[in-house]
Amino acid sequence: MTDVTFILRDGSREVVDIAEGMSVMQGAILNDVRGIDGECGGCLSCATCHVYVESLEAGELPPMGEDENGLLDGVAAERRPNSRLGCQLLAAPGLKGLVVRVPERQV
Amino acid sequence: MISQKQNDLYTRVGPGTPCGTLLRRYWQPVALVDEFAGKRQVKAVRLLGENFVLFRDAAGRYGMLDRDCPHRNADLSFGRLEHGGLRCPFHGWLFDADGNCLETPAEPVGSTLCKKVRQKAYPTEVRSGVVFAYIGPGTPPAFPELDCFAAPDSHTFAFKGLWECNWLQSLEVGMDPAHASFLHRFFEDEDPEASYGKQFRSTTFDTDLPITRVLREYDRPEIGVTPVDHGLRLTTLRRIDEAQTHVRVTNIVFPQAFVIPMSPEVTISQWHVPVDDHNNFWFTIFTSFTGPIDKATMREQRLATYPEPDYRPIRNRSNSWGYDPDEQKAATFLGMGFDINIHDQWACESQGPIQDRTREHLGTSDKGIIAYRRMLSRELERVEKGERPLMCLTPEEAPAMRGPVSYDGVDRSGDVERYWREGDAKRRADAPWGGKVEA
Ligand code: FES
Ligand SMILES: [Fe+2]
Repeated sequence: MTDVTFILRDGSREVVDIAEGMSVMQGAILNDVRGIDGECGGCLSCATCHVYVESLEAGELPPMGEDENGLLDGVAAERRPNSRLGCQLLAAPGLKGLVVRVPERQV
Repeated sequence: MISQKQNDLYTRVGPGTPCGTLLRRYWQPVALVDEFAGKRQVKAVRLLGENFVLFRDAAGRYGMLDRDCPHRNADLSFGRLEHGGLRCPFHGWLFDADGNCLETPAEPVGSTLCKKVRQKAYPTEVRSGVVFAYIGPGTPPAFPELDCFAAPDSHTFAFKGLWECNWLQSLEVGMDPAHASFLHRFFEDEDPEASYGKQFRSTTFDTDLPITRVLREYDRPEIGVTPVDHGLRLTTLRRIDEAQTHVRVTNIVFPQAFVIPMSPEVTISQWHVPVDDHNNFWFTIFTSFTGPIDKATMREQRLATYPEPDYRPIRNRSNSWGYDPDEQKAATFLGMGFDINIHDQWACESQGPIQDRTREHLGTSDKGIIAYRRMLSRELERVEKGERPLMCLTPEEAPAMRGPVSYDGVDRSGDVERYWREGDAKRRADAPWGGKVEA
């Protein structure tokens, strides 16, 4: 289990415990974190689970794939160097202190 | 994919739920006029998780009342139709179509009890062979002047059927144009002459290609979704070759209906009306843009699969919808016969009583579903804020809500939008009842 912190649009923080192998997007949807849509359910067809990775204390995030990179070009909010799709960020052992910020909009 | 909380928000429609509150702001289809043609003029109605009785009195007026008798709550749908109203068989209390209590025969002479009792009654309206009722707050909205309401009785036909699953997954079939290439695939085309009253069976406008072949051979459609005044317009393009594009224009009429072409002559306007959270009735009005509809044939065809009085299909979960693996190998994609209504029924009933949308994965071809859920979220928020939701029309707005454009044909001009707009306008101009173009 990995604790992931979401910084919501209103600035508040929500911590969600995500099971190993689940993505940040799934964790957000199943816990009803507002601001992450994940409409497609994680099959890389929608780009509505955009997050900004603010910090990470330990461990490594999976590298960005070509599909993810392409979809990030089409996100509704500004794409920044720390932009990722939540569906590609899997909770893994050793991952600690991941903080992601919800963007202004997903559509 | 959505959270459980969001799924509950969209699917639960009982009294006091957000979506139930939204749907109660609209006229809802509750019965077919044809159901009152037999000897029994009293029907039990269940709508949005509430029980009602609908009857036609001696003067021909429809009355829809709460079903439990206000005396000791016996079921009024077993009542006696007599003396200008509906009489409860338990102790004989009599009610008129407005819910007034006319008699309490067991009470002492001179009793005024019946002046003090009133059964809740709801407004009803008959349109194109369907009885609509309004169970929401305040005055009901105005009816839009859609083709299915504008056409005369001779050019419309209405039918209904029970699907044993939540309303939203049934409606979502109607905003998913890609499924037609698979779920409704037939391995052989049949003679279009034998296609009266059936969908996806004839040829279409401006081509000799059978529609079954277009769907089968061109299975990666380009889908466009446009928000419009009545809800959503979907345009589905199948590129046949360099010179020809098959286009199908369909609609979601918010909150609960879709309008689609059945054949070059006839459109289908279909509501999905929640009985409760786990069942819904589809109500369809078929509208002809050419000659009168052969209602007897249409009704006979449909009663063969949806028998009276329950309109529950003879193929259903209890008999695996008549699934035949040999047929699935040799003749159809699904193996449940040639009636596409059954295919759609299987698709949504097989998802379970309420689809678990925390487990779905939507693709690019599901963009109609995604757009609709956004619209539904927005309108739910509006109602929560006390605002008037989309398509809850004032009498001033209603006349402008016409059409909508629905079309199926093959374009060779290269300007697809112009093609379907002109084709639809021509079909309307030719309609004997003067169908008006969408505003
Ligand atoms: S319960 Fe209906 S009259 Fe008594
Ligand atoms: Fe279908």
